[in-house]
Amino acid sequence: LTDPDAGVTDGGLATVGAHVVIYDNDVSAVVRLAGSIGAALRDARDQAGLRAATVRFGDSSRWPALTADDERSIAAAVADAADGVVVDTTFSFFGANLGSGGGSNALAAEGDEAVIWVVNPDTYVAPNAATELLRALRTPRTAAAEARQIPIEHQKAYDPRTGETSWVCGACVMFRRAAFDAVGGFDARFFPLYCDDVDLSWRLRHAGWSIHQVPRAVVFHDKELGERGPVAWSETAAHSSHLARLWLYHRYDRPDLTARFLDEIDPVVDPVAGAAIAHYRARVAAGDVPDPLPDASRVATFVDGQYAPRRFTYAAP
Amino acid sequence: MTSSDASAGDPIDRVGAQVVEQVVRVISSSARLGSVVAIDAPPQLDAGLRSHGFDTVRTTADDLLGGSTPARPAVDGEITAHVVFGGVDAAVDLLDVLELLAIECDRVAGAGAEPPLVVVAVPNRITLDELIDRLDGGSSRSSVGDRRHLAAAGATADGLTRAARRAGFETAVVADVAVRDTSPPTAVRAMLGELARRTGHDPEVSHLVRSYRRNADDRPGREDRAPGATPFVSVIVRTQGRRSTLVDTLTSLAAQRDDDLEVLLMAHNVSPEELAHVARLAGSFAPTFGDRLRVTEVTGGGRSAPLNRALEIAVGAYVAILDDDDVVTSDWVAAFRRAAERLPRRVVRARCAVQSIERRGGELIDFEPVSGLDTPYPARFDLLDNIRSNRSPPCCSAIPMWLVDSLELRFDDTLQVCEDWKFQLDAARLVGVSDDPAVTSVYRRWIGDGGSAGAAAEQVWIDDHYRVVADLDAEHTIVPPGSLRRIHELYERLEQLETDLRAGGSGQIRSARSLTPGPSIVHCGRTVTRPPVSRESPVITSNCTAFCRWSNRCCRP
Repeated sequence: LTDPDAGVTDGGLATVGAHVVIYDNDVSAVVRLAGSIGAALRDARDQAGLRAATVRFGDSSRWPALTADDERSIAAAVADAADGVVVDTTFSFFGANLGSGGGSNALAAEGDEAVIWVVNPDTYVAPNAATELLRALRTPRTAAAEARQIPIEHQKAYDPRTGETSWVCGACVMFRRAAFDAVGGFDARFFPLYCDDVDLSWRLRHAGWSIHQVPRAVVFHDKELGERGPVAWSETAAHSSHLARLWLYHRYDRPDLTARFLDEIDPVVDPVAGAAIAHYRARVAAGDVPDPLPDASRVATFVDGQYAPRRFTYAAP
Repeated sequence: MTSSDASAGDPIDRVGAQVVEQVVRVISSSARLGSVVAIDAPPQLDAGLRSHGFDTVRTTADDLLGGSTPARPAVDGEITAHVVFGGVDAAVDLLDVLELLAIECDRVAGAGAEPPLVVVAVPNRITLDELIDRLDGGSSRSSVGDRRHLAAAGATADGLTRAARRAGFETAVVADVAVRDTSPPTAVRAMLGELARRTGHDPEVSHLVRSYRRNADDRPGREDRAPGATPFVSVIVRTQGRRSTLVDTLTSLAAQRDDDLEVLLMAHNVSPEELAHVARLAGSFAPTFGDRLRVTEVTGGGRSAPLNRALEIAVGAYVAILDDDDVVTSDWVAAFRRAAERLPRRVVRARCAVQSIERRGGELIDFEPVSGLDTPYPARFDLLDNIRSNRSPPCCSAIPMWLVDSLELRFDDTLQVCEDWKFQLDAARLVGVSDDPAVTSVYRRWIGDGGSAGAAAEQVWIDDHYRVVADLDAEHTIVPPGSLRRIHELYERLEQLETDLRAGGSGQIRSARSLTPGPSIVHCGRTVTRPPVSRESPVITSNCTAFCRWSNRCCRP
């Protein structure tokens, strides 16, 4: 196991790389987000001792989603709000869809800041977000700190005293680079779209780190509201989610849950889940499966189809 | 210029004599003794003023504006007042005359003397077309102080006020001449009269007689803003600076896809520390949003005080209200715009979800959701349903600013609660509502302490609920088509229930379909004391049903 606190002191977390992976996103929304990141980093400089930051945008789109003018607008939005604390805003076109996890890994490899701040492109971070996340991350043995989402707050439980939780969502989360690198970052091969954050969280905890919900830190995650909660997923999203679930069962040593899932799904009734199962079986037959983690069940939590106990419940979409 | 020793001239009617009498009264009570420049005035004015010791110097607006006579004619003594008459036959451009008189006032003040009083007497130009224009948003406030309202045929009350304000005068004395009709009005006449009065036009006022003092520093009204500077919506956020949820509210506003908005953050009765906290939060947003966000401190008054102050400074085409615990989706403004484009000039409304939250005492945060989302309010606004109880939390809707201005809509500061319901209902009953089906806001309902429902005593909610109904019921309400049928059905249903009860008690009541579009109100089984709705009606007790959905006061889950 990695020594969780090796080489880390409170004063060591004073540089941040803020990373956004885009995929054909609306440019005006990205400009708004860029301004919010700049303002949050400025606040972190004033309130939490941040010394310097770099903001990186990675483009996973098939064709470049940003023109040169777009990039100038985004960089200007960051600079106007950041008041000098951001030393650079960079843009990378990946030339392939690396997924959110793969894109985040690529952006992390571009820098060496002590803190990696992963931010979804469909968010707007509150001015206090970076400040509060940095403060939480400076608690010893803490590898990741996640902001509270609005308008649809995530229902997963956390320790009301410490904020410690089962997993952190990748929409707006800060990682210690030392911990992130030590476990190899996101596993984009098996979790290209969903549960890459669950998997990374559990691997961090498996390595001895703790991860935390920081409810004072706020991030607006742009979700459409339905009658009872989030709107239903698209078929592509549902497919990816089912497949990710099966890989989690595999990696975290829960063959019982795999068997139950395969047994309970009727492909005729639920063809999307049926297609995910077919995909899963083909890759298993080819030996293309994630390596199981030894003694993994001590960090993995499977409760009623969720990856953490819930504080409250949204109705099914 | 005509002689100051004018003859008695043509006889004037009774109303004309009253106007002259009022003008004389205003000048004699407000102006120092001296000479009065009378512009287009009837000859009878001279004798009236002379009896109070004033000399009269006569001229016409045509001569004045044409430059053939100066605004400061040669007189032996001091000019202490100018009076402008706008008659049916007078070619008066009142705004130009007032601007000329403003220059003269400044000249006098510059010489160290007291500027003269300015008095205006014009026919009250109130027509049905004018009224409908005001009530339909047709003027869109673009006719502000325009010359159409100040033409020879007279002026409207607010048009006169705006013209004076634009010229740099503030109203000193209002001494309008009214011709009261003592016979009982017909229903249509009564309703139009009510509406006219709410738009600042008293239909029984025949002449506007008002005096003005120079005030060059008077703040321009909302109507005088530069074209194109109007945001689509002014969002009023009321805060007392104590809830940690405020950052949620502001962040969700900063994330709007349609960012054509201004945010008026009204810090109400806050300590210096709380005000500093609010200001620091507001100042910490990116400039793209921070430039649209203004913090205003309001001290004193009840829940309505910060809202009414915000209405005075708001410049948007619509006005919406959020509490500092509400959150909205990124298309909250966009949904209002869709509704406004579909049906202009209406109240615009989208749907909201409800989430229960509870106060927490932990170090991490002081509140937490304890439920998922529910959408208990109807998708479409229904006037009768909303008269029964509030089925549309404030975060659901935006009110056209022209209506706020035309009717001088304000939040009732005599109410401790329900002020937002009354404001919205008052607007909706006059112009209707345009609904958008999207769910665009989350109304957070506090369980236990924390919300307004918990802050006010249960009896306050009950009393103010009935107050709202009684206040609005004192005026005519325009109900939409279909309402008579529904009222008819309600009576039928009531008669059937009474028949069933007489026949065999509650166990025999036959189920009938709900006549309300929303979910049925859950009865808690308690009784409440209802205040009398009129002098004649008694205090009665009735089943508690009024507040179960809205305030959650009686039927806690």
